[in-house]
Amino acid sequence: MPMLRRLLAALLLVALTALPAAAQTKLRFYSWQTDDQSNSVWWLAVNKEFEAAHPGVTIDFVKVPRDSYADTMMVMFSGNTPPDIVHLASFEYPSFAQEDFLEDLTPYIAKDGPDLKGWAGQEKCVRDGKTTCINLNYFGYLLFYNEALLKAAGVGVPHDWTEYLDAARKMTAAGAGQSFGVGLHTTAGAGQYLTELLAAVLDAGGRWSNTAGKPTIDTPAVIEGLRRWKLLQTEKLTPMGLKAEDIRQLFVEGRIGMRLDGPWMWGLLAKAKPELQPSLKVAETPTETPLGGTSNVIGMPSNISPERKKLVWEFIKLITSQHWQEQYVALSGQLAPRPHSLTPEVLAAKPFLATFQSAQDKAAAKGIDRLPTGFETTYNEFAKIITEEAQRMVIDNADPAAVAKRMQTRAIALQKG
Amino acid sequence: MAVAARSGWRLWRPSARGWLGVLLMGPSAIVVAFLIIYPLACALDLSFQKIRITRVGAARLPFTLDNYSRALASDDFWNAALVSLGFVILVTLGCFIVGVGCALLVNQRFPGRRIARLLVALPWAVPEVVAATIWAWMFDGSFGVINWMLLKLGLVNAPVAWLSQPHEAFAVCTIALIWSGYPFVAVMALAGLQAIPGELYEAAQMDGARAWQRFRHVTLPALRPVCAIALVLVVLRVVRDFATVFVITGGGPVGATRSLAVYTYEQAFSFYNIGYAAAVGLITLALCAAFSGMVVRKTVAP
Repeated sequence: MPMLRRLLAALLLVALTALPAAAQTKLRFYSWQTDDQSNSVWWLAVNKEFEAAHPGVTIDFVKVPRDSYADTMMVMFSGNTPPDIVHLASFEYPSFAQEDFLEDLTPYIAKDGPDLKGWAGQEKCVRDGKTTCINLNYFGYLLFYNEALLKAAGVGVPHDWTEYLDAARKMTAAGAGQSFGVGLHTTAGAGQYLTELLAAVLDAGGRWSNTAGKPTIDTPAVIEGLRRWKLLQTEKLTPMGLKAEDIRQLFVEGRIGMRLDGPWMWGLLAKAKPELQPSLKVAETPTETPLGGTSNVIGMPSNISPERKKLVWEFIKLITSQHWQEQYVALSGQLAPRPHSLTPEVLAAKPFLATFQSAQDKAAAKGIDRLPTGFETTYNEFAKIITEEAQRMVIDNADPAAVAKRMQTRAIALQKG
Repeated sequence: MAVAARSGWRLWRPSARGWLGVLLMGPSAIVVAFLIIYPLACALDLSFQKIRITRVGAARLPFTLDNYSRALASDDFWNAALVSLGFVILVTLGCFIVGVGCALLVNQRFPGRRIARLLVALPWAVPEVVAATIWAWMFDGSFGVINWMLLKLGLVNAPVAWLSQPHEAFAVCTIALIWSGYPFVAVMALAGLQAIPGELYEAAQMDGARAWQRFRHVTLPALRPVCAIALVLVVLRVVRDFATVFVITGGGPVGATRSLAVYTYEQAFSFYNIGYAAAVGLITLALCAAFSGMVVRKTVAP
């Protein structure tokens, strides 16, 4: 009898400990933004808000490094164990959407979703009439500059390509090998290489493809962009063989005069030494057409349970609400895609956001995106082709017109498969 | 034939004690076989499908040889094979020269020999990614310590763009691979050297053999079996190395360091061509297996 009583007590104990676990739902949310300087603050706040509004539901917010993010997502989706909340870079998203890994959000949006009218970059989430993601960030490139280095070289903030090149030359000469006029990503990481090269191409009036998705690489404007890109490197106005992360770090250390980059770089400036911080400033790019584009998107997997889909949709609704979009601007220091997210109060507290907004508006008005039309699902291969040919142009001192012709031929072959 | 098979079975048939051994080893053998054979079978199956991203439970796509024919017709594939071959030749040579040299050195009696042996093996203990990152920093074209030293010594007039020039980037990867690979050869060679009976050297010395002749006619032949095994393992390591090259150059510039391992990874995880990547991986595996078989047959087998 005591034995039986002991057994029953043990079973009761097991049942009691198991109950809360059964009631607890954990939403798996993988991201590369869990501990960055700006986005993570907002994510943590919004996750907390969601958990408070949904007792018994927790968000498992797990860091996956950016370098291995696509690999991780592919393995998870392939194994039928995707994260509940799908966070992807905009250039990764088309490949996953193409495989029908993502739920069509159209009926959810129609029922009680956010008003996506005027939502920056949202058109990139629509494929074959289906909305399979919601854009979380559309950015315009900015000019980050070191005022002290500009002054030491006797030049002002550039406003066009000629002034930019002149400033780069003078700052590099004044730096005598210790600092450089500009900082470009010139090594592995084809996506970043392509983005930075695109800034030069856009300024010269070129595009990788037209609106129909046909490659337009061998046009005079793109050739001019390539010539400018080559010039910055052959004149050694940038340190060579470095990744964007290294270049950003050098900028923060005061060894790079000018850097064209996205608004996320603003958060890094706080890492600079206090005596250096007043010199590090931001302005609009000295380019005719600023580079812009979608950065990252949110969605839900197509193969999770209806209960989980409901929760994920609740989460998406929360983060895309007017309040949390305003909070995104306030907490992350970046612009949100939802219209009117930049409130007068936040703008007064963070005046630099006016520059961000202007850059974003200019890029959006011209329909700029770093993902070339017609190469959405083969973006990485396209990036590799352009990067390799551009690197070859610099290494072999090749004619940009001949290089553009080779790029065009290879891009057409890629489209044909 | 049947008789031969039966008699073969009779010869092989284990005793009662042998059966116990088979029984005890069975479970682990099955697990190991599963761990090796199952992924291999999956890869083989994928390589015969024109598939971009796989999905567990998804219907199988039609059988095709397209991935293999595409690989064999691809300039990128042959470039990657050539890069791998270059790494194999130079890194293996480098590992053996440095490794055997170090083994001969630390096999001598001298004060501090223990510390010297430890230092020789030290690179082996450093994780590949950490080592590769350090090499990348050292060879940084603008702020790296190697350029600083070369400039200070007056060996170059301007900084060398180590990682953005094809030959220089290849050289950096080769150096990094030799650095992380030579300790294995050194340890193997040291073990081989210690197994050589001292009498052989004494006899050679009495016959008037000089140091070089003793090395050539006593040391080298005695090290041959050890070196053959080391050769196979070093070659396989170089062919499958991904981390070192990927961290230092990412396979660039212009594909100058894109080895078969990096190419396979790129196709699978960057371009989402899983079927094609599986085909490339299996071709690499076949090449490695053929090479290993050849070396083992020629040098180790009786």
